[in-house]
Amino acid sequence: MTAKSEEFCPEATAIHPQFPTIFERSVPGRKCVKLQDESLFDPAGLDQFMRRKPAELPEVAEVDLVRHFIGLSRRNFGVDNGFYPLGSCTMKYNPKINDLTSNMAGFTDLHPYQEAEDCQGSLLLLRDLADWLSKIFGMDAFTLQPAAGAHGEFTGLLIIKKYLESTGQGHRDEMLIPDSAHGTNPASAAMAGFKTVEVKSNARGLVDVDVLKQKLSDKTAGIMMTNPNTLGLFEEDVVAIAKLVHDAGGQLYYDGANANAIAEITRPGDMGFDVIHLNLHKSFSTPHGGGGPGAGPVGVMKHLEPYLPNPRIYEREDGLLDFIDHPDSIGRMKLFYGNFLVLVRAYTYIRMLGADGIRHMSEMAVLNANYLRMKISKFIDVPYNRTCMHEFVASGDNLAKETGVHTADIAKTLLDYNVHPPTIYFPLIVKEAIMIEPTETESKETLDHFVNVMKEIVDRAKTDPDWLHNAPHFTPVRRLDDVLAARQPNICFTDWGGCE
Amino acid sequence: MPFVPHTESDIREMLKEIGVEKIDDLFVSIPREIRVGKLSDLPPALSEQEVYAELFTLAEQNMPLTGDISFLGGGPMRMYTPAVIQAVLSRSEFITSYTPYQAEISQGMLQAIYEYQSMVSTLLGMDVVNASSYDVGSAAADALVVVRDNFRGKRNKILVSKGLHPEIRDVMKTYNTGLGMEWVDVPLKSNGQTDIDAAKGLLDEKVAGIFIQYPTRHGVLEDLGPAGIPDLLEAVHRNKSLAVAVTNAIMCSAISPPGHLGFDIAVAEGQPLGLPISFGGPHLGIFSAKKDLIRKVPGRLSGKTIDVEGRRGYVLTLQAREQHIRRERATSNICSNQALCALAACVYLGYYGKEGLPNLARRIMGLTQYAKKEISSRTKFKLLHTDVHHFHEFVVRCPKPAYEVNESLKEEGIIGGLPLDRWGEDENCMLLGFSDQNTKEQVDALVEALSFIGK
Repeated sequence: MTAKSEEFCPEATAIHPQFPTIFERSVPGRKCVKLQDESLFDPAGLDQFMRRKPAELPEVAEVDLVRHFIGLSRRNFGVDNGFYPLGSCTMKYNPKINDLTSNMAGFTDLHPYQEAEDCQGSLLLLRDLADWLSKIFGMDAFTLQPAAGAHGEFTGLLIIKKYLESTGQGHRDEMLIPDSAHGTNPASAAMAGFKTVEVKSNARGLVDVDVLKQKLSDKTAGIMMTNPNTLGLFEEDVVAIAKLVHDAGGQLYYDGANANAIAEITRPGDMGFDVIHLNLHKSFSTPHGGGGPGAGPVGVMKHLEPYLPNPRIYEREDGLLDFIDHPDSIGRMKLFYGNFLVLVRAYTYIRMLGADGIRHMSEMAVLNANYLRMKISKFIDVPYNRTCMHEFVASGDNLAKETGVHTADIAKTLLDYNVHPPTIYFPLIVKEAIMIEPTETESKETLDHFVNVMKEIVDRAKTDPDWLHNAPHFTPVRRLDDVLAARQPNICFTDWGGCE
Repeated sequence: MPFVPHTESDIREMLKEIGVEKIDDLFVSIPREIRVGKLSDLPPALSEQEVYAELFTLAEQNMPLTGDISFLGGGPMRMYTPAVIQAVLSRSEFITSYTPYQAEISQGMLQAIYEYQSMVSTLLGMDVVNASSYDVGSAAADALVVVRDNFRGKRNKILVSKGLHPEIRDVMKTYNTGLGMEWVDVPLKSNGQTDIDAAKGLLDEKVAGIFIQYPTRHGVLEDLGPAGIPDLLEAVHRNKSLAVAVTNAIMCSAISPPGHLGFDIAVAEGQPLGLPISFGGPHLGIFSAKKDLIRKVPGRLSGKTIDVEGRRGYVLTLQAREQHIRRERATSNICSNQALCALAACVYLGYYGKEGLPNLARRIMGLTQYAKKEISSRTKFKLLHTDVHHFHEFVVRCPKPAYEVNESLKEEGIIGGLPLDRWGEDENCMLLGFSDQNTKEQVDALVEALSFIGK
C-alpha cells in the first residue's frame, strides 16, 4: 500500500477496467441457439396479436455469454470467499450437501398439480420439516408457505388479525414494536392494517417494561419481538412481558431472525409467543443467493392453527398424504406450497445436525460472538458490553468525534481486506452502529484475523483518516455515487432505445 | 459436529478469553424456567453419505415428470433448462452472497439484476422492472398495493377478471384483507375472453384499477385487436384508473406485450425462464410498471451510477421506498426476494436471445395450435373455447370425468391435463399444457390415446 491516500489510483482502472453489459457485447445475428423448426405455427388470424418489434434481447455466442456471467461472479463476494459477519443476517457456511439434495430430479421435476400419489416423497418432507420445526421452537403447528422472513411476518400478523376478529376483538388495531426492531416489522404491521406503536428500550438495551405497561390498552392487538433482540441481548423479562400482553388481550409475535442464538437452548413457545416466523436462509443454512430465494416458515400455538395459510397437509383414509383447504384459513400467501427446494436444504441440514448438533450450533455461535466482543471492545466502544448472544453491536460514534472517520469508512476499508463488513447503521438506537455476527461456522483463526484487521483500521483512523475516507481502493469499483443513482435513476439499459 | 470448526482446545481458550468457565455461563441471561431441558425428539444426526441416501429415498417416492410425456397445465411450465444456467448458478460467489448492500464487492449481482431488469423491460414493453417478487401471485398482490396507493385512499374499488389464475386471485384476496379494497369480478364470455363491455360498464370514479390476465387461466388469448383490450384500456385511462396485466413472459417475445397495449403495470411468472418446476417453488415474481409509477414500485431496484474513478457501477437505488428506510410507510415489506432466480432468468434470456426466444414462443404456440386441430377433428373431446387463440394451454371437455381420462392416459405412459375440478370448475374439463419438452410425436400419441375414449 504505497499510494498516497489523497490521490486517486490510476492502477485501479488498469487492474479493474470497465465491465460491459451483456448488451454491449451483443452483435446482430450472433446466437447461442440453433433456431428450431416452427412450421407448425400458423399465423392466420393473428395479425393483430403478433408483436410488431422484437424484444431487444442480447445477441451473443455461448462462450461470450458464459465469460460474461463468470466474469460477473468474480466481481461478487459470498461466504465462500471470506468472512461475512453481517449482523442479523446469519451468514453461516452453506453446506454443499444441500446443493446435491435440492437438485435431485425427484424434487426439481415434480409439478405441484400432480396427483398426491405421485408426490408422497415431497409431502412427507414437508410434513416432517414442519413437525421438527414445531418441536425445536416449542410451537404446535407450522406453515412452510411463506417465501421469506418478511413474508412470514405478514402471514403471522394476518393470522393474529383473523384470530382477533373471530373472537370479537377485531377493534384491536395497535401493534407494539420495539424501537430496535428490523424495518420489516412495522412495514409488515402496516400491510396487515395495524397501527404501529413504538416501545422504547431501557438503559440496558431491552424492552422497557414500564413503558410497555403504559402503551398497553384495549386497542392492543399484540407485540412483535425479536429475542435475542437486534442488540444481540436476550430479553430477560420476556415471560413477564408475555403475561402482560396476554392479560391486556394481545398476542405475541416472535421475529425469528435471531434464532441462531437459541435453538435447543430455549423455545419461543415456552417464552409465551403465540406465533413465530423463522428465516431458513439464516439459522438453517440455506443460501442467501444475493437476495433470495429464502423461506420464512410460520409456527403457531394451537388456538391459531385454524388460520394457517392454505393448503394444509393431512393424512387421507388410505394413508397417503394430501393437501386440503381449511375454511378458517387466512388464505394463500403465494401460489402452491412454499419455496420447496429451499425447504429441502433446511431438511437436509437438520438431518446432518440432529438436535444435539443444533444445540452445539447455537452454543458456538454465542461463543464466537462473545469472544469477538471481548477482543473488539478493547479498541471500539461496545455500548452494552455484557454477555451477548450470537451478535453484538459496537459503536463508531466516539471514533467519529475523535478522528472524523465514520462507521461507513470503516466498512469500506474492510472491503480492501477481503472481509465483508458487519451490518452498519442498524439498529437505529445505537449511533454509528456496527453489528457483528460471526456465526458458529467460523474458526478461531478467522476471528483473530478479523480482530487484527479491525485494530489496524482503527489505528489508521487516528494517523491517516483520508485513507479510510477514500476506501475502498482495491475493489472492482471504488466508492459509488448513491446520490446520483437516486437523483437520475437509470435502471434499464437504454442505448438501443428500449426504455428510459 | 458438522460445519463447526471448534476443537476442545479452541473452546477452552475462547472461554478463558471471555472470562467464563463453561458454555452454560454464556446463557445466564436466559431465565432457568425457559431453558430447554430435554433436547427435541428429532432423528439422530447422520453422516453426509447417509443423509444423501435418505434424501434420495424420499425423492424416489415421487414420480417426477423427468422423461415423461406430460401435458399437465395450470401452473409452472416444464421447459428445457439450458446447461449454461447450471454453470452460472453453481458459482458460489452468487449463491452464498447477501443482498448487495456493499455495492463495491457486489457488482456481479447488481449488474446481473440490472441486466435482468433491462431484459424484462424490453420483453414486457415496460419501463421499470424490480429485482423480483416471490412469485406471480405476490407480484399481483404487490400491484394491488401500488394501485391502491396511487389514489391515496380516494378510490377503493378494483375490478378483477375471472380470467386470472384462481391461486393468484386467492393471494390477492389474502393481501386485500389488510387493504380493504372493494373487489368486483369481471365475468368471462362463453369464448373464455374477458367480457370487455361488462368491464367498461363497471368503470366508475371509485375504480382504482382493473386486472386482466392473458393468456387466461384457461390459456385463452384476450382480444388484442383495436376493439378489444386496447379499447378497454382507453376507457380505463379515460376513467383515470390503472390497468394491470398478468401475462406469460415467453409469450411476450412473439405476441404483443402489456407495455405495447397500454397497461400501466405488468406482472408475470418468471419460472419458465430457466427455473425447474420444483413442486411450486422457488419461482420468480416479475413486477414491472410504466415510468411514472417508479417511486411507488415495491422491491429492490439496481441502478447505474459511477464511482470516484468515473467507472460505471451499480447500486441498490431509490431505497427511500423500502422497508429499511420508510418502515411502516413503505409500499411493501419485501426484503429478501428471489434474486438468484432473477439471475437464472437473465442467463436464460441472454441464452435464447433476440431471435431464439420468439422462435421458442412460436414453436410452442404452433404445437398448441396443432394439438387443438387434431383433438377437435379426430377425437370426441371438444374445445371448451372456440374461435379464440391460445398460446400454450387450452381446455377440452371430455366425454367422461377428466380424472378417469387421466387414469387411461397413464396406462399409455402419458400424463394428461389438469382436471378443472381442482379449481372448483367442471370435473369433465381438462387444461392441457404444452412446452418445448413436448413434440409433434407426443401430441400424435396423445390424440391417438384420446381417440379411443368416449367411442
